[in-house]
Amino acid sequence: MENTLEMATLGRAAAESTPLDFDLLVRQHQQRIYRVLLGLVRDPDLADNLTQDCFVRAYQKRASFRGESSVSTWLISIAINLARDQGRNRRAGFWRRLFAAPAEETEAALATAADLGASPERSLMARQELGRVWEIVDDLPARQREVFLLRFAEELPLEKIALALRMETGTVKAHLFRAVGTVRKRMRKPYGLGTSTERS
Amino acid sequence: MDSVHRLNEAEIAEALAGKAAEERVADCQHCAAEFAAWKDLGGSLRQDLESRADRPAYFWTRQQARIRGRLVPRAASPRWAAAAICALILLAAGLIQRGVTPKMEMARTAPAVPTVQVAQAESDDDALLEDIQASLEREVPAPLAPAAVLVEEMASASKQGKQVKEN
Repeated sequence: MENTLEMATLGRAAAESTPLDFDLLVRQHQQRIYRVLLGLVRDPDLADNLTQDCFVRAYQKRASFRGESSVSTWLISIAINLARDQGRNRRAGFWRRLFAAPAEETEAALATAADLGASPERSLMARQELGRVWEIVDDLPARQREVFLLRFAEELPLEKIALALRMETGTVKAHLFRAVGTVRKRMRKPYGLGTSTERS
Repeated sequence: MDSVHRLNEAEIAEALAGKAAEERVADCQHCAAEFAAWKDLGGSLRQDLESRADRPAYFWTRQQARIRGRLVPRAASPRWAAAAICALILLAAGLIQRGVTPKMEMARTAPAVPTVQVAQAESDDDALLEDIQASLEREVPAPLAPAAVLVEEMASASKQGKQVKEN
């Protein structure tokens, strides 16, 4: 129902070329698109800029939206393409992350600790483990990282991931399989993943 | 039959992709534990990302405004305005240049009022040249003409005196 409403809004915006109609879509989806982009580029300012770019591009290409996927999937698809373009300059992103991440992570860790009522030491350890997971995810090849984040962080079903990435569902499964394998291999000891014994 | 086994990546991917697979691994205690660890990992990532993406209201309002600003076509961006000003300056310079050149050419070949003055000056010059030519052709310069007349009269008088004496 909501999707139908969104599609109608987008269709009306396409037909009448009214940015005001498009405002509604921006308000409905901007937080999710920002979150997806933040997961992919790991830089708040860059994610903000790319979110703006995403909606501007969506507005420019609104006539090409045919309703084959939901509006949110379509927007995620645009966002991922923008992040890929940006990913070509990952060296700059590396230096930005190198200087920006510690302060942000400490702040976020303290905030999480306060929220959960856990001891700061325990929360900090959890954050360190999480930081390691992010490092591994950042090191994944682009497609695997996209699939992994959309599945884990956004909990998108494989079919929607396939639509967003313009892949076959089988290809998405293969990327997820490889990503899981890499994360499992590198996180085995500290995170306890893959510690089960072999079938006897 | 021991149901304990190590999940392979395909099984984990399958399990993460649907509830049916989740129910399937539930028979194996270790598989379920590992699967739970993966779910925890996913939950942690999601929670971490959500906490980082949780921005104050003004952030979203500002973002909306910026997007809106980029969607509405601007009347004239500063770059276009600068280009228009440059074009106007060039046009004006071209017009001024065009306006000055004909005036200078007109001054050189001006046929109206200056023609009379020039003709007058030329006739004056011609008269002066004629006077000079005449005075050059004369044996005695014009300023000495009275003296020459006097000399001629004196000469003729003395000549007449000689003739009288001879007669």
